[in-house]
Amino acid sequence: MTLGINSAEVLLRGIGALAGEKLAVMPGDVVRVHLGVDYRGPAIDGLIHVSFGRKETIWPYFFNEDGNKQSDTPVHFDQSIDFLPYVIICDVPIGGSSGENYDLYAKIMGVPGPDIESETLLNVLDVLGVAEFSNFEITSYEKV
Amino acid sequence: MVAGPLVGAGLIGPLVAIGTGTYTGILSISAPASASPGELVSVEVLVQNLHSSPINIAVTAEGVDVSFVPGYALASGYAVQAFTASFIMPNNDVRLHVWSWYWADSEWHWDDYGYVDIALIAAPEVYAGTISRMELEHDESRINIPAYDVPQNLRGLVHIWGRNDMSSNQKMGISWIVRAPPGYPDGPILEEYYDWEMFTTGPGDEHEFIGGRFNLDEVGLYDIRCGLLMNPDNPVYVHTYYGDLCIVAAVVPEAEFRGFGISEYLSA
Repeated sequence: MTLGINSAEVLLRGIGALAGEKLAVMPGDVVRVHLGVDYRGPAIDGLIHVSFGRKETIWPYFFNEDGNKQSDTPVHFDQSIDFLPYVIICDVPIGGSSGENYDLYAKIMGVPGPDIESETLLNVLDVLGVAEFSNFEITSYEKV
Repeated sequence: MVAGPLVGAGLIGPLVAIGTGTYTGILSISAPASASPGELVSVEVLVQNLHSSPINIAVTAEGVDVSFVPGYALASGYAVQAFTASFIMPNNDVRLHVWSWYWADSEWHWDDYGYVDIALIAAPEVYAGTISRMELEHDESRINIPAYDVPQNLRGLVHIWGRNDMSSNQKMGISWIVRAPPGYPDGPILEEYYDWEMFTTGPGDEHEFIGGRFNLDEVGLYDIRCGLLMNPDNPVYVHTYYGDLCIVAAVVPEAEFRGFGISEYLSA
């Protein structure tokens, strides 16, 4: 899928966050992730893998995918002698358990050479659980 | 021993040679000096009755399958009788042996003899050859012409084979012009090549002509105008190819990505 949807337009349709900002969603929501890449070379097909999970904080810093918050999106790159920009949009269904501070990363698979990995964005997603209350207390009382 | 006339005034049988010109004399044998294969050749033989009395005379011939008209004739004393015949010229020279005969004592007598030579006119030689193979060499590999998706910035070399389609050895030549994109007629000329083989090529055999190297720097269609030649003294084109030499494609780099990253994400 190679789409060139204007980012601002998309942001107007939902609750959005630029890279690095945190997004709060509920289980069952879909997170639309925008990616960008420049490509040159022969026409090829590949797969964009996007996943939320937890990046380890110690070396070798593996990214542990949640397994219920990821997607694979087919992508095609046209033959080009020069670098051409691509905007790729991937929808990631949010399933599984709730949690806070999920990390996000993506990679291009199935292309010549090793997978192309993006930088991992840390603490970008909170998945809210079921009904949740906080700070429940009596704040005042009066005769009515 | 020769065969007598097929028809006659009386019985006809094979005769051994006897004296010639006793009662008949072959005055002339008229025929063309030469003829082409398949051509209808007419022959006229004039035979004179050498006797004062009428006698039956006839003419036969060997060398080709031929019969004279009339089959025989009663010729008055000293009269001259014409006999005619025709045949299809075979693919070789002909020597027509002609005998005159007279009828006496209830049989044909071989009397006089003559001959005429009719030379074969050789058919004009039709030169025949074929451009049997064409290859473009580049980067130490060869591909058939027309070639497609040839990488840019290589050096090209044309190989063309001519085949002798005649039954005799022939000396073959070649001529070609290579034009860069956009091809014929506006493309700049990259190579003009003309050559004759040093010796000859046998029937059905091929001879390879190899030109000079030229650059394949431009992307697009390259054209070649090529002709196979024979008969160096008066060259004739026996086969031509006017068309695409190759299409050179821009070099596509290996797959390369840069700047891959996540720009934004939202709850859809």
